Order: sequence, then C-alpha cells, then structure tokens
Amino acid sequence: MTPVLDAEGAHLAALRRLTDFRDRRVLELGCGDGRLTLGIADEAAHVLAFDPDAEAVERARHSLPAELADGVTYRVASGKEIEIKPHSFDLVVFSWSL
Amino acid sequence: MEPKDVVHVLRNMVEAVKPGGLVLDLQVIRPNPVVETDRQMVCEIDGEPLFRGADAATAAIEALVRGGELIEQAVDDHDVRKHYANGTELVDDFAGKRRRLPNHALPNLRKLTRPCAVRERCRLRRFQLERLWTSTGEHLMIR
Repeated sequence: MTPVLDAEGAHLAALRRLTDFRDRRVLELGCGDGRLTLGIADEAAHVLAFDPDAEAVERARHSLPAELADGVTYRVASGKEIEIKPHSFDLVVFSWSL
Repeated sequence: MEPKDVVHVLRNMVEAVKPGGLVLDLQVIRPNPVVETDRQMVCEIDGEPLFRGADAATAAIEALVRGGELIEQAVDDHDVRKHYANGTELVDDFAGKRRRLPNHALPNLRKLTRPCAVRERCRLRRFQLERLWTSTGEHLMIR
C-alpha cells in the first residue's frame, strides 16, 4: 500500500461547500497528481492545473479519464514562471501551494 | 513554496482571474498535526516548517484584502488525513520532508503494525476579486 492522502475527500467536500464550479474556467496551482483536479473537472467548464513536480503531473495525466480529457489541461510549471493570459479564468484554487 | 516567492506568485495568479472572480486558498493551520491509530493520538508533529510558509501566504493575501483587491467571503476549517498501512510506511514517508517526526516517537512508530494516519487541520478561504463597474454597467479592470 502506498500512503493515501484524504481518502475521505475532506478537501474536495470543503471546496464544494464554498464554491459552485459549474461552467467555470478554473486555474489550479499545485495540482500534484490531480487529486482535486478530477473532482473540480467533474463540474467545471475547463481546468488548467499545474505543478512544478513533473512526476506528479505525469501521474495526473496518466490517471485522467477519457471523459474528462477535453476539460483538463495539465502543465509542469511553477507559479513563478507560468504565463497566463490576464483575466482569462473565473477562479483560481491554491491547493496547499502558496 | 519559499515565503519570498509568495507575493509574486499570488499576484501572478490573481491577475489571471476576471474581475469579480474567485480565489480559493487552502492552507494548513495550527494546531500541530498528529499521528493517530484507531483515532487515538500516538504523537504530535512539529508543524512549524509548513506553518511558516502558510503564515507568509496568509500575510500576502491579507495585504490584498486590506488594499481592497480581495474581499473575504467564506471560511471552512476541516481535518484531513493521510493514511498509511503501518508505522514503518509513515516513518519512511517523512524521510527528507521539511516536517520531522519527533525522535522519541520513532521506535514506537516503527513497531506499529496497524494502519495509522497523520491528521491535520486545514482552512479553506474564499475571496472575491474586486469588481468595479462604470455608470453604464461595463467592467473596469482591477488595479
């Protein structure tokens, strides 16, 4: 067994208590292996999720279900260096990442 | 993330969001995380190495709130757990991490054959970006 973070889904439940992701364009900083990304992408119009950990992002890409493939873009990048068009997202999520 | 980078990254990300859009910030918060087995505490972990980064992030966000660029709307505190098959797996997972398990607890943790978990307190905050309007109802950009 490998360690499992938040098997109970406490983080995603908190995000959903505070936000309605439906039809929103979401920027996620610190996506890691996509643990929260998939739950957000279930409702969002699109998620751009990024993390500087290339191995984690590769795991995220590998586990992305085909039905969500059009709704999620993963990138290997840090918050310092990534270039995002201004005012192009409805919301940003900092996942333990600031 | 290094505390010195927080302000730059926060600014970079906030500028990517439309006026009136949302910022969701998930952080670890005090008290210290604990190791549990069967929901009973085994030991406490010094969380300060991560709290220092979280404090820097909170300070950077508070500066935007004071400047009127972000408006705090909601807060949600909750516990999150990381689960391990046994104590050895937990100890190995902390190798090379900024947070250290207490030395005095290591022998007992390594003997732990049952599933265990690290439980920590987290805070999710929701902010809205300032939304400015002209007299004709058009958006103005944030500062």
